[in-house]
Amino acid sequence: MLNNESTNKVLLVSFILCAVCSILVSVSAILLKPLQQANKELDVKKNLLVSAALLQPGAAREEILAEYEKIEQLSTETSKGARTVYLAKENGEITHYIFPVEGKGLWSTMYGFLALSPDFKTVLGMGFYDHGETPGLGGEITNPKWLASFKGKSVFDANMNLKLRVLKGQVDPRDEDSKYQIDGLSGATLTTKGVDNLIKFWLSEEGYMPFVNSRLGKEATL
Amino acid sequence: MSKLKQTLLDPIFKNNPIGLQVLGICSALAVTSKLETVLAMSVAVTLVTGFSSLSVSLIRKHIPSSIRIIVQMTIIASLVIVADQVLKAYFFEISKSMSVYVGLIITNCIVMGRAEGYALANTPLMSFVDGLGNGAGYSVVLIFVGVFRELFGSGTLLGFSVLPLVKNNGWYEPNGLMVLAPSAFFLIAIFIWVVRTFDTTQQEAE
Repeated sequence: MLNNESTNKVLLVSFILCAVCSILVSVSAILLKPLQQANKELDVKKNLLVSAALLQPGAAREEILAEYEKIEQLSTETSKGARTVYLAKENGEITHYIFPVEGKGLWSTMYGFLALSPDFKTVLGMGFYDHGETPGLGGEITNPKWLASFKGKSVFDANMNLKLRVLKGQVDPRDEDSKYQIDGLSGATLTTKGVDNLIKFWLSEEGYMPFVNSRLGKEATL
Repeated sequence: MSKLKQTLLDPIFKNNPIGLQVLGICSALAVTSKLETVLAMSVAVTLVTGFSSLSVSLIRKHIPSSIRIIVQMTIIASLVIVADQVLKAYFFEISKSMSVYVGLIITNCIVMGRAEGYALANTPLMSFVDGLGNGAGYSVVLIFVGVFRELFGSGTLLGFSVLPLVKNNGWYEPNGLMVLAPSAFFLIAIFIWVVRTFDTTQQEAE
């Protein structure tokens, strides 16, 4: 038996311990991966629907899948590669366009969905399903109360210039632009700025504007 | 047998890790605004404390004292990662709302405190029971804080509406402080006060 304090014993104990622990960790990670993956996919689908206010946040798995079945998908090119735009329909009429969006916050890339009305002029909803912002500060981007403040905001002015903004601080309701503006999150200036940039980017020519314009053009010819 | 029972039950009121030893305050502030996350956190911490104490105790005669802290850390960290993986696989919503705090169980002073303070010198069975007991003591305080914070901060318990809120045409105006972490300080202080009033041996000498 080795002396507990000898160098060999220290090395031996640490080696065995590390081997056992790493096996434990890797086995659990690999065995549980399929389940976690399924959860994540379901969560993205759920967030897509909740962002567009097509579903209540507490919905069960079956409800999510049933509702998701009804969503149509269209592929479009952006400067960041191909993206899928989701279309919700009711009685054959498009009711929502749901755009996947992503952008840098303070610490992380934030992934979410922006839902617009069929004429692209009004926000129907906003949501984030993955981010690594500070819990309690930037993490508040998933706060339903804040996300609800996007609902009903106008996106473009009469000349289709993008006006939707997330401000730093509070929106002044007397400002004539207030219908385009959303309160920033206090204590999370950089995250808020990230959300603002993300909207600016994805609703530009580099993002979904070519898609939006082609849809609008199509509608005009109808 | 009675010693086993004592080891299990003592940490709940008589030697509560938060109340008497004032350990593990950080997570008691962070995850207690909703009762659901409190319950998940309580179960996770109790199991991690139990099994880390068990594992440390099993190999206690072979742990060189020069690296014992790192050995405990490795065991605790591995168990927490496993717990995190299980939560992500089976309780996705809860794990999402606990975000970083699951990982932070590693730094929960109670887990390490019991490994270092008890498991290194006691048999595996006793250590396991001691870990569970301390986890339970931690849970009692967390649930106490969680019930108050969710009830008075959001008017709900486990998500069910108990006090109808003014904004939903009810009569209760929620207390905003209860939603924020500092309220847990007041509640823990009240808990300690009440426990020490009934059990005067816990009072510190002036």
